This record gives sequence, C-alpha cells and structure tokens, in this order.
Amino acid sequence: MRYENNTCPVCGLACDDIVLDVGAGDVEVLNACWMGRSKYMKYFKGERLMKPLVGGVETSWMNAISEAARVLVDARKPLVYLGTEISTEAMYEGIHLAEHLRGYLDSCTTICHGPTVQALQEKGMPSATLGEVRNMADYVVFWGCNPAESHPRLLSKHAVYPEGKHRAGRGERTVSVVDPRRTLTADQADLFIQVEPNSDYELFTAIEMVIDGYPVDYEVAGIKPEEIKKMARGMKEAKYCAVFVGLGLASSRGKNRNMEKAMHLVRKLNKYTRAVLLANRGHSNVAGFNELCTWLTGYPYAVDYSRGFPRYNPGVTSAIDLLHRREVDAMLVVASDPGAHFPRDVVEYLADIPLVTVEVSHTPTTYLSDIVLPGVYDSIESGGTFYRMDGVPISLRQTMKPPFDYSTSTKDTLRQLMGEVSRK
Amino acid sequence: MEKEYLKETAICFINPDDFLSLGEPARVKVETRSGQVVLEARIDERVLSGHVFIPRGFWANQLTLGDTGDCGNPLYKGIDAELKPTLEDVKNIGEILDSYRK
Repeated sequence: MRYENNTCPVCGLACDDIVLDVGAGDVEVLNACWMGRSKYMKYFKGERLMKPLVGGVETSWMNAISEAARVLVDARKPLVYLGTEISTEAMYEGIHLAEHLRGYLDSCTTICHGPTVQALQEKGMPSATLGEVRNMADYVVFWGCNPAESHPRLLSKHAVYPEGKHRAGRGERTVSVVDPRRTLTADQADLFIQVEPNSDYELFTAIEMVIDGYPVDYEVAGIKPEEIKKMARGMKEAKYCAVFVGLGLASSRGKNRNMEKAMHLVRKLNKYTRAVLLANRGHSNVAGFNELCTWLTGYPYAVDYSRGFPRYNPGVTSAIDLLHRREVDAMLVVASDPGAHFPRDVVEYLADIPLVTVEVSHTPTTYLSDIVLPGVYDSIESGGTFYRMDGVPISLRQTMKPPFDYSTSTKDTLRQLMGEVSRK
Repeated sequence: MEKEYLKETAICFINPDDFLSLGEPARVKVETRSGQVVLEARIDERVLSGHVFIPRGFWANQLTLGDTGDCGNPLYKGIDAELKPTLEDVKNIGEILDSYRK
C-alpha cells in the first residue's frame, strides 16, 4: 500500500511530501532525510509502549488515567510540559489542562529557541517563508546551526541547492557559515568563519560596524578583519540575504542578547537590501506551540496559571528554573524526554517528584516516571496541524491506526485526562 | 536503542593535538561545575584546540546546570570543562538515573 503526502514528525521543516510504501513485512520511505527515515523505521519496526504502567506495573488504561489525574489534582504546583512532535490540537488540550489545574505550562521551546522567542518580542524579526527564501535568496548565512545534520532538507529543498523562481540553483547563491566547529554544513559553504565560542555578539557588532562604514582593522572573536569585511560586504551587496540562526547562538553565552543582535543586524541590512532571519526550529511542531500559546494565553511559552490567569516571566516561570528551584511538586510530560535533555540537577529533582508521562516508547523519562500512558504518533496515526519552522501551518494526514483502542490521538489522551481531572 | 544512542552521543570529540597531549586515551573524564561524566574519546580535526565537542544528549547533560541566568535556557554550549584520560567505563543511562533515586 502506498501512502503519499505524509508529514514528517521530526525536525522543524515538517516535510509534507513523504511517501510510505508499506508491503508485507517491508517498508520503503521515500523523500525523507536520514532522520525522517530513521523515525519511520522506528515506527514500523521499533519497540512500542503498549500497556499503561503505574509504579512500573502494567495496569488498565482507565486506572492509569485515574491515577494520573489524582497526581495532578493533588499537586499544589503541577507543571504541564508539552512535547513538540504532537499536533497543535493536542497542545490546545494540554494548555487548557494547565489552566484548569492552575499549574505551570511550558514546552521544548524552553530548552531550545526560547532565547530566540524572547529576542523576537524585544526586537521584532523580519522574516519570510521558506518558499520566499528558495525563490529569492542569493546570499544565505547559517549562523550557529548545522542544517546538514539537523535539518538536512533545508539545503536540498529550500535554501541552497534547489532552483527558485529568481535563482537557478546553488551556482546563484553564496553560502556563509559561522560556527566554532567546521561542520558538514561548513564543508558546503563558500565562506566559513570559525568564530571563537561565546563570541558571537562581538562578531555581530564588528559586521554591523563594517556595514555602517566604521573601520574594523583588528581581529574580532578570532576572525581576521579581511574575513569580517568579506562577510559584511556579501550580506550588504546581496539582492536578498537570508540568515538562519541556530542553538549555537541561543544556547551559548549571550543567549537572547545574541539573538537580539542577529535581528538587529538583519534590520540594519534592510536599509540597503532585503534581508530576513529564520530560526532553525528543532522539532516538527515547536513553532506551533508558540503560535497557539500566544493565541490562547498572550505569551509564547513559560506560562504560570497559578493565580488563575496567565503570567509570563521566562527565567522564573520557565520549566528549568521552576525545577531547579524545586518549586514544582508534580509534572506531566507529553511526548518529550526531559530525562535526557534537561540538566543533571534538574533531572535529579525529576526523580524526586511524581511524574506522569505520555510516550510512545521507553525513554530516560519513562524510566523515572510513576505513571506512563502509551502515546500515539501524531502525524502518522492521527491528523491535525503542525506549524513549520517558518510559521506555515501544515495539515497532517492519518495513514495508520494506533495499535491499541484506548486512544486515537494525543489530543484524545489529553481530553480523557482532562475529563478525569474535572471529575476529581 | 540505548546502545545506538550511547554510540552516537556518549562521545567526546577532541582536536588531534589535544588528543596526542592527553596520551591518545580511549576514554576521557570530563568535569564541569555541574558534575563529571566518562565518554569515549574521538579525534576530530574539525574541533579547535582547547575545545571539545559533545553531542547534545543524555551524557552531555551530566555536565550542564539548571541555573539559567534568569533567561529560562540553560547554558548548553561554551561551558568551561576539565578533561583527563580515564580507564573507567562509560556508564549507561540506567546506572546514572538509578544514582538519582534517593
């Protein structure tokens, strides 16, 4: 059986042209990158959590839902943490659950492009769709990101190699990479700037100075003045400059200030040419959480509902800070793995508090969890909506059915949990 | 699954000059303000001397701290670290998580 136009549930590109050829005992995945293929092979051939667990012991679905609801209702300050490979519709249920519980709400944004979102609020972000970049961009910068390994089809499908309306292909695009490490993306660049770690802010400033006509005749961030001038000139003289930023900026010293500087540079470039900035969002629907959360609460992530209305103060109401300060006394994790991706002391605290997890397979987080509810693969086993990293909504199509009958989607699971919470 | 994950992420990429000066170890112990972790050592000429690269994941996060400097996001990159050769084995996820349980 051949299924076309599937949406990949891995990186922020949410590629919606995946073809699955499912035969007897064999699966062929077409159009996907190595990450997408690996995800689909895991889906078809990997292990799957099939039975709910309470205290590590298999139990009925209704008992697990009831126990999960009890944990959340009994908590004084529960945290609802939503993964970003679930549909926007499931996130809608999760946000209302956090509001009903008067708890905290956060998502993977908090350990990913949270600083970028803060910078966006502070500075504003001239941006574009990936289609516009493909059709228009003749100068492409990858700063603190390595899409050849994290978003492989960004190069082949959108930003570097494909033919666009006004660009014939790779030959009509100049590519610059800024990174402390010579990455696989850097290997494909015309100009590689090997910046010293934690020095991006200084380099942005130097490039801005060159663009403004000030002399920069000295090394900045380990980069020779000739290279700084070459990059600044390239961006300024381009007809359309697209800057992709990654966690190399968001997760190193400077964080949101690095991102503000990147946005400031792009705004400045717009005095001379057309320039845009896009964040290489890591998960297929992480942008969707920010869109939805802003629509429903007024804030993009790190929302505090403890007073019955939404408040936002990243650094105080964000998941890592709440757990680091040990202010949360129970946590619901939906399709995410904080056990693997949160800092050590925070994970140590996770081992101390009641933890409820909705997940498709065993992870470090399920290992620490008191209650585990088997999850559904949204975008494979249920429809819904993802928001691509450029903010474009993508409709999902359901191609397979969940291997159990107690939930049809992550949205359904959270709705059932909300129903049980309301009854307690 | 864990074996593949361990093979891909419990690694420390080291500049060739630094690798030589460490005595070409099979494994290294990396220590930061947060803690320490044993990783497989791997030569990588793409990394600058004086720096190492550890793929973001479970083992790297043994070296990160939940102090976000009031911005909500932990410092995942550009962390000061000490590196030394070791004969200890790389611990698996279960061993490390069990040590968290009180």
